Amino acid sequence: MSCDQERHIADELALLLLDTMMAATPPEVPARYASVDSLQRLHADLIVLRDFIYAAANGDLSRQVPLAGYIGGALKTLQANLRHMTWQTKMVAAGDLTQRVDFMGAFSESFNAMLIQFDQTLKELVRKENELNKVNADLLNEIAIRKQTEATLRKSKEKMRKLALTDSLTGLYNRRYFNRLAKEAIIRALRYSRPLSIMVFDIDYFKQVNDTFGHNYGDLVLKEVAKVTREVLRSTDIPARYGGEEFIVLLYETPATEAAEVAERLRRQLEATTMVDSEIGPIKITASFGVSDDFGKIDENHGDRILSEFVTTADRAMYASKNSGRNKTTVYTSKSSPAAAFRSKNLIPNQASREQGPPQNQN
Amino acid sequence: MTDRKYKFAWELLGNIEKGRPNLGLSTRLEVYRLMHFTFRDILEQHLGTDKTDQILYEAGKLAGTEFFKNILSDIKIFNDFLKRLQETLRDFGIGILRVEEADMERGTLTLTISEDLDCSGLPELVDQVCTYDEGFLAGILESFTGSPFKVEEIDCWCTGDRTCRFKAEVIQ
Ligand SMILES: [Zn+2]
Repeated sequence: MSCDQERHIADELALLLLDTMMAATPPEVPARYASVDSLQRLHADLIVLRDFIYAAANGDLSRQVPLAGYIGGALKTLQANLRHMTWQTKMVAAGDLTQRVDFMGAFSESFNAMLIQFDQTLKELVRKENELNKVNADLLNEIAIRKQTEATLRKSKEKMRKLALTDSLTGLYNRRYFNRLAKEAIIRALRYSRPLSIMVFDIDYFKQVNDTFGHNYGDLVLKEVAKVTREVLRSTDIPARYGGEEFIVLLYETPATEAAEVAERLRRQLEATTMVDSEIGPIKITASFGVSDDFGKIDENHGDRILSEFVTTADRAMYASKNSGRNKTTVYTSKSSPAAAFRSKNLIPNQASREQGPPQNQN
Repeated sequence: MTDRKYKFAWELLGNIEKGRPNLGLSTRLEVYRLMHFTFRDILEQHLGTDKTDQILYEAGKLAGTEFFKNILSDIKIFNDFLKRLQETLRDFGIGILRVEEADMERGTLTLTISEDLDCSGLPELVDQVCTYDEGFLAGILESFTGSPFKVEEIDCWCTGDRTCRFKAEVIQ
């Protein structure tokens, strides 16, 4: 074969292989070379490579590379890497941010940096969320504490208010609150010319109760007296502990005669009630009552003075009961006619008693 | 066989740190391959190719089972297991494991190992040689999943660093 012929054949084969690599549709091996096995194999391998690369370029990584050797090996490595990366990405999508790519050069660096960034951002987010949750929890806690404090404060205010109004032993109103209510009642009664009575009563021989049974029993007696008083009085009557063993009652819209009936009911009930059963026997008491509806006809702007005089008239009536044998009701009324007589009472004539000076201080 | 002379136990690996205070944990890879391929040679001469492959596969499987029991048994989640396996194979210098596919519902995995202990850098051979590796992977997968696995090296190829591709399947 001449040199020209050899060159011609080499040229023809090279063009055939170039076309196999580059043309859109690869040429067949010409029939005259069909018997050249190595050419057939090379041609066939190139076709396989074309197909594999084309498929891979279009995202199909599932094809097998049937070639051994350098190019086949390199393509398999590339395929394996891409498939491993696909799997890693799936893992990342499932939340595993510790995946790292270590075989794709600059891509690996970017991918890993992205994951690290992602991981940090996520951790930062979680941290911030936790912080926020904590702040939120603290706030809720703070609110709860405040609410509790407010409730406690409200309760203690309520308690203070009650304490300020009532007598701690008997639960009845105390003297101060009674005076306030009484002053308002007097002013209203004066303004509208309505009847108003005050009843005062004092436990007879209370000192003896204390001396005989002790102060604890004395306290129990006072409590029981308060209880009986509340039971017997009408719902509109206002009882209070005025001091020691002395009680006072404000009776709205009630003239002295009617107030005296209430007083009598209470007196009888106290007399009939066994106050306490002590170790040395039952304790029974009586009480002396004074009733007055004489709050004068003085200027309504001087409530204090009127009240003091009003109470004094009832007090005098009560001392009149004491002085005439105790366990009685005495009425002091502003009406000119003497009040109706009660079974067990001293009647103090109107003006006369007012002129009498303070009664003797005796229980 | 009731009276075994050489029944394997992890303890038989001995205390290497204590035993080799100067030479340490590592030896040259040629030594490992020298042993591996001389064994294969003699076994094949005595027992034929198939029997040799079977023995190497079973030995690999015993190794994988023991390796899992002593190194990996504390892991419960599959993805954690794969990750730890990757790290461990790398740390032990066994190879660089990559997962191409892992479908545990179907019980199939495609794994590649590059820079493999047994075959990376070998001259190009016609047949796959990583039979011991197949057994090793099967032993590990069986131990983790509790299901029997068949592992086959479907591609053992040559580039700068030889990479092997294994297909693992649950035996139904
Ligand atoms: Zn291999």
